[in-house]
Amino acid sequence: MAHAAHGHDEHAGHGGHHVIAKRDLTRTISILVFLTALTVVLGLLERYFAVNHEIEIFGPFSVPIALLIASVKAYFVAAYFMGLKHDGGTNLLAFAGSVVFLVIFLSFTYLDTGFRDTFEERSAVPVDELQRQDLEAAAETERLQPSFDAVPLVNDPDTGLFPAASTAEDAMDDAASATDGQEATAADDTPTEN
Amino acid sequence: MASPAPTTADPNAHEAHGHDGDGHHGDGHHGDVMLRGHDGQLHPANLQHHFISAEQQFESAKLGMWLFLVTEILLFGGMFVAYAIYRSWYPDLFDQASLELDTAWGAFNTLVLLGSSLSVAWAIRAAQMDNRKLLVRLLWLTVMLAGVFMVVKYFEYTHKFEKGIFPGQYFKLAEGTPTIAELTAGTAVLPGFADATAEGAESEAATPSLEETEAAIAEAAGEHGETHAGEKGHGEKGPIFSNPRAGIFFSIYYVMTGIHGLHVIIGIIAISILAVKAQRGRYSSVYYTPVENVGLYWHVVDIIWIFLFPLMYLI
Repeated sequence: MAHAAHGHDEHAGHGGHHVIAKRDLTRTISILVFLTALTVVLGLLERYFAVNHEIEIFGPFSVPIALLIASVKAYFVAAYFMGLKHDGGTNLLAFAGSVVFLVIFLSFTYLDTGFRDTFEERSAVPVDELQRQDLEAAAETERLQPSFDAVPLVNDPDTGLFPAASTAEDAMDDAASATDGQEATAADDTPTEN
Repeated sequence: MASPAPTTADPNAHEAHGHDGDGHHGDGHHGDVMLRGHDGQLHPANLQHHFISAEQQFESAKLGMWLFLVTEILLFGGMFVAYAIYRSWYPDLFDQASLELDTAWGAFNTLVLLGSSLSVAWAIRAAQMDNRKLLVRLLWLTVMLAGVFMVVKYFEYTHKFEKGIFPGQYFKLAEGTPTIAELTAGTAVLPGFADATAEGAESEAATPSLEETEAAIAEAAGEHGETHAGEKGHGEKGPIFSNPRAGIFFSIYYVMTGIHGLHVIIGIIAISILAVKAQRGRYSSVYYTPVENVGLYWHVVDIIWIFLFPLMYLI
């Protein structure tokens, strides 16, 4: 009686629910079992060749392949068993949103952790390392200073033999004063005139 | 909140209403699927007053469940991110560790969970078709398959405990293998830090740099792995037992499969309650929201295992 009543009542709108067909259920489970078998066979094959022949048949692609097969399985569970194929709308948005944010989470964390050594070595020398290098360079300069002082770098030319030399030097000083400014000229002139 | 008078109803509704005088606030047990509301019209017994229709109530409950499932996906997502990072750092560790996990039992458990997903999906179909007997059977079948999954998991765990496979620092490495703690003792993690605190070359020589420690760990992992693969019958064999980092993988393994197992146990409890209530005739094509929502939860538990199985056991 009650069922007869609800059939015509707008409040009991359950009649609109999608009832999954038996064929869809059996087809979905077959695909899922097949994909499970596939991923197990591929995994065992890879292990067999790696252990016995030291051949990596998938190499770096073993993780993407496993994830791809698992994703296809997850798609079939979500689309048919969970009814997202017929739900659509907000439920699908919530589910797809969680996957999108998971991918953001994963990729940005990987961008940080995956390349730490690579970029630190090439682009960023730590500050304390730079300071250490500066201190070393200063100590080296100090250590070498006596040997520089021992050898006079410039011998004053004999003005008796080369009278032109002093005028040439004055000319050089004049040229220097033109660029260096007044103070520099005054300081430079004192030793050369003696 | 005066109860509507059943006497004003038409004969059909009166019969459906029966002796229950609670209006549509009653829980509608034992086949009372339609009750007369304040407006004098028939309402499904489970319709709460703040919803327009049973359809709207059903969709709202389902969306709420989906939002909960989103948090579940992100909960496990965080652990999958940890897995991904450590795998990218130590790919050899994950190759060695997957050899310790029994692929056959893992595959068996995958099929068991897929089967339980099918039985739950079929149970919802049975509820929609008002096939109570099939609904109850399929719900109990789901509980049984979930129980099989947990029993297999129990034997997998105990087998590992016997071999000394514990998470983190409790992992029992083969004799002579240095632990990470020993290898990293006194390492200057920040290169300049040791210089700044204790100046001079002597502290530099005493404190191994990060690179030196890395090299020592790599040597320990590689060298012992080779020598141990040859000798058999001495302690535990397998390269993982001489990898100082073995505990890292098994921390991830135990936490991920453990929290997944916890979800399976919660699912067993929830589905058992559903089965008992279904036996009492609480669910029909008019009202089966709990069956639908617990079914969604169970499928997510299945999907998580679909990802866990190949990542842990196969590669």
